[in-house]
Amino acid sequence: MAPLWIVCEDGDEYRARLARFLGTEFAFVRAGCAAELVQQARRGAAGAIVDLDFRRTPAALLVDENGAAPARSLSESERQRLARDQGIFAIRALRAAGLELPAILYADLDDAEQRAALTAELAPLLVVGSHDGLPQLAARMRALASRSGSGSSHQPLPSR
Amino acid sequence: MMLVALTMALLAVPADATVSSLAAARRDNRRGIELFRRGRMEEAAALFERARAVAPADVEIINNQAAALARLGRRDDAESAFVAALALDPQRWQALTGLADLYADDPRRFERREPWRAALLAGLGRLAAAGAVNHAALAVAKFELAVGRVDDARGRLTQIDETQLTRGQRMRRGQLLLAAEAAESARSLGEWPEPAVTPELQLQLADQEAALARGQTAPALRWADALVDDWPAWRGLRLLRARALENLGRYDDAARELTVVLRLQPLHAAGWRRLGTLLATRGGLLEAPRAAEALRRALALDPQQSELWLLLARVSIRQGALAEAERALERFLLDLPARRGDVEVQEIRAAIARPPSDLRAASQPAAPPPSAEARALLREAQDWIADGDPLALAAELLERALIDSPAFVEAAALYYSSQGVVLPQTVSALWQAPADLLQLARLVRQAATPESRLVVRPWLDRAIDLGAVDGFLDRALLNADEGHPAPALADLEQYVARATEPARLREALALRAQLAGGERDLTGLLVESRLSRGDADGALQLLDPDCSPGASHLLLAGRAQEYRGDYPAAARCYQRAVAGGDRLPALGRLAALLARRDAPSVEPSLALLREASASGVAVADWALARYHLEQRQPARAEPLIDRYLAHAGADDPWVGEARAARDAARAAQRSSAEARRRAAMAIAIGLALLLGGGLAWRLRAATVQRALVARPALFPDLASCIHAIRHDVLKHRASALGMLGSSGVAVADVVATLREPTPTSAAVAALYQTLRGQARASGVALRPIEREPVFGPLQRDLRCAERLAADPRRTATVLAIDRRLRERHAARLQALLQSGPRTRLDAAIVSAWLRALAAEQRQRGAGWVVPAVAIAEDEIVCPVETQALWSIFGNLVSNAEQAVARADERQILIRLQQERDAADRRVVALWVADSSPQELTLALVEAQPAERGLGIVREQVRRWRGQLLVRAEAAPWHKAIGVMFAA
Repeated sequence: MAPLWIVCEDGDEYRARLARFLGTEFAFVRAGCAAELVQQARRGAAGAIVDLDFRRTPAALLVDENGAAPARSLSESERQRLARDQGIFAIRALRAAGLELPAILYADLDDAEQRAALTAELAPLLVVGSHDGLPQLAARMRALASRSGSGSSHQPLPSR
Repeated sequence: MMLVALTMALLAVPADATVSSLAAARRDNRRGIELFRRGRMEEAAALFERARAVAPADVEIINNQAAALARLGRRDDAESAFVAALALDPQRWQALTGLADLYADDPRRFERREPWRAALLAGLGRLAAAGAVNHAALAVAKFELAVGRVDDARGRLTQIDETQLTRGQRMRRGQLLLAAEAAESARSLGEWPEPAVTPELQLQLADQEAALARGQTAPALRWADALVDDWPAWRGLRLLRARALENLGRYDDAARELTVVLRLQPLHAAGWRRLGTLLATRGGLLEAPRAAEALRRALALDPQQSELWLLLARVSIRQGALAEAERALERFLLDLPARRGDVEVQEIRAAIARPPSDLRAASQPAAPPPSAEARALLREAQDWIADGDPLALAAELLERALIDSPAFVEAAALYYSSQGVVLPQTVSALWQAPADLLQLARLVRQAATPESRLVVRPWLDRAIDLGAVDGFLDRALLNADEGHPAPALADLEQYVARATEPARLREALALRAQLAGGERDLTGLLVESRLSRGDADGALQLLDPDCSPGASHLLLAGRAQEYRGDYPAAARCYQRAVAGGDRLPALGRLAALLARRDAPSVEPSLALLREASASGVAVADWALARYHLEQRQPARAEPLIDRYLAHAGADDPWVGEARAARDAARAAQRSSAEARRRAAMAIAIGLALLLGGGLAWRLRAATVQRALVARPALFPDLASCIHAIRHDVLKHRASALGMLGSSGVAVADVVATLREPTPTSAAVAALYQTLRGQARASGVALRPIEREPVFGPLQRDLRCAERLAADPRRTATVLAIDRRLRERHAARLQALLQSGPRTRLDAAIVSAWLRALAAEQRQRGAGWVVPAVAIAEDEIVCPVETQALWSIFGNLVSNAEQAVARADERQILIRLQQERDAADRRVVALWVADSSPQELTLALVEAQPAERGLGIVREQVRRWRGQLLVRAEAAPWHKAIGVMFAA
């Protein structure tokens, strides 16, 4: 059975594209928000590919920088701020839930220090930018999965 | 003292002298005394010498000769004469005191202190008459103080039976006890040794400092935290921690860390400056006394940090110390007279003129400082006492000083030592000032008589009632003196329990234990101690204020003169010090001093400045550069400025000015070069028009890169365009190109991804076309995409890939395009993103912006609260175009001004720093905090119309892809609104 990867995004474009080109090697399931990502991860997956910008996601489904649902209704500025970096916050929510699922943040982060800090904080994590094509992405997915030893497991990963 | 000795004529007659020759010798002696009194020492000494030749066993003549020789500076001859007098008559106390005074002033006293002290003690032991012993004991104590044997001196002075002293002797004893007290406090300025840190760690520290400067605060702090337990006394490490903590907004922790550094190295100018600035800008009202103290110390160590005078003025106003605020402001304007019209200066002037009553009430009561006249009277009295007060003038002078300034503690203590009383108006003046009352009690208690103890007890009780915790410790000492251990212990317990930092007591004791018996020249520390109390005149009393050739402590004298604002005198001291043993530090201080002076003041020291420059004194380069700029020689100034900026320390106060000067010089050079070029170009242009007409047609309009230079405000539109290309085209669609040829991948799928719903090349062209429209709207024409060097090749490659992807024979070509997309094109797009506008902000620019805002507010008839400004680095580079940033800054500050205008507490703080945002992105943050309790939320900001106040801020922040935040702030602030932009 192909290893299952969760694709967390605010639309369905990534999942469709990945399924079309990498579908023979991997299976993909979509998560539309951080809560769904955590839920899917608990069910078991080889890894997660997470988009950064979630501008199409309703404010109520966004999580804040600590990975928690905001306690109050969001102003537009606040919503934009959370949506813009939602991918990072969603992975934080994943880690806060004790899930060590390998994750790929599919985003152009031009700040090398930011990449390094996030990679350290949210390990196991790789940041992949637009300069990486699908073959490079697939290679990283394989590397991450083998490094974490999760292989094609569909079983839940142990909690931290 | 020597004059007293001269008046005691004895008629010792050698047996072999004839009557007439002896009479002539006596005549010479009397005539010599007259000349001595008139200050004609050479002639007096010659007469005494002639008299001594006739009457070689006449002790008085020998003593007089010794006194005259001492006044002439012929120390060795004077010493021989005093010793000869004592050999002939061991009971001649005048010779012994003369010898002690001679030794006490001798520059060699530290090297020879042991044999000299032994000789003096031997002489003292031989004296029989009680009065003589007291005279000599006072002189020996003076010598002991002069060689740093403070405890011995204090012990000797307290052992003297006060009832046996004449009034003059009592006063002299009091003066010496005051000197001992000052020496004790000066000892606290001694430094702990720096630990022997390994070179590897030193290198790591340098790396971490560089990282911190780049904004990598958290890693630097982690590194420092890991080492601090092993190297608790390493100042560099502590300073790094302090800076990192400050960057993170942990101001209390940063202040604590700086306090540790300053405890280890009390003469650390940069440490005091940072602590003073931190407490003044971040601390509340309760921190104001500490802030003022730290600023005073920083200024005492480096009086050229002129901006600190202004900060001190503001802090003093906060404390209600308006006289000090006025002095600090005047001192600031002495250095920077051009700032006289600054809004901030005007605000401070207004605050001094009309003090808000609550400021006075909130500050701790303190006695008014003594007037200059009272200080002069005290000095005069001290001079008389030093000479034995033969005319009994000292008490009257002190009384006059105290009538003028009844709260003058030093004068009151000296008056007590002679008269045994403290004037009632002094007690009354100090009754509401616990710290001064304690100080007077401490000084009077040194008399160590039952009467003095009786006198000070009610003062100590009063000081304790007023909340002076130190009073418990003083009362404990008093109780111990009186043999009451139980109440002494109870008071000590109160002290330890109530003192906010009981650890300081232990540290003070440890320091004292460490230094006890240490014998070294305390003059320097005494001077530092007086300077740190703002008493530059007092500091100069300990030194030669004229810096005569051969004088010691020239550097210190120069700094004291600098502190007073007497720059010519300071320059003279430094010039002399260069010739002495302090060459490099003296060159450094001289250069720092001259870096603010005008060309005529610099002129005489040009050679020394060049010497300093050649010796690597960075500020000398700046001083020379300023000189050349004033002389209209920018070409000579520019390399010097460059060199100064390359070597200047991060905290140098001239860096901002130097940068501005460099920019101005370059602009001037550019414009003059431009003018020359223009003439030559006029000819060339004609030819070029002919040849280049066709080419110009091809290259009409600008590339994106050049358009960005001409119109930096275009950057947000460009950034949106590039983000869309990266996301929608490269990541979502072109990323499939690399799958060509992979097993299981249908070529048709790749082709469809590239071509549907619209071809990727068309998508890029459409995005670029939108950008062209935006550029045109802002007044700049972009080239058509086919001639644009970044977008054109990208579009061509995509078009090529769309065409060839379906052809299996061209897979290699398409894969090469894929590689180019991911490498060359991606890098070009990233480079464009990084070429956005950058606006440099530093203290000078922020001040100028604030001045403009203040003027605008005034024109509208609105009030203006001078905001405090804290900039974490020397300069911060903000990735936003200047006009947009000004608009954001102006509206944030104006909003805060409007908010505090209606509040009771009116304070605004502008904070500019680098930090990391919630996504770990390095950002430049501008926070504006205010003390108004009026609520502010992001929802309220959203509700503002886009063309007004915070609505403008909101729109600009969105356009420049920044973040807008609101947060609560600790008192005295209430909330802060901030904007952040990715650095």
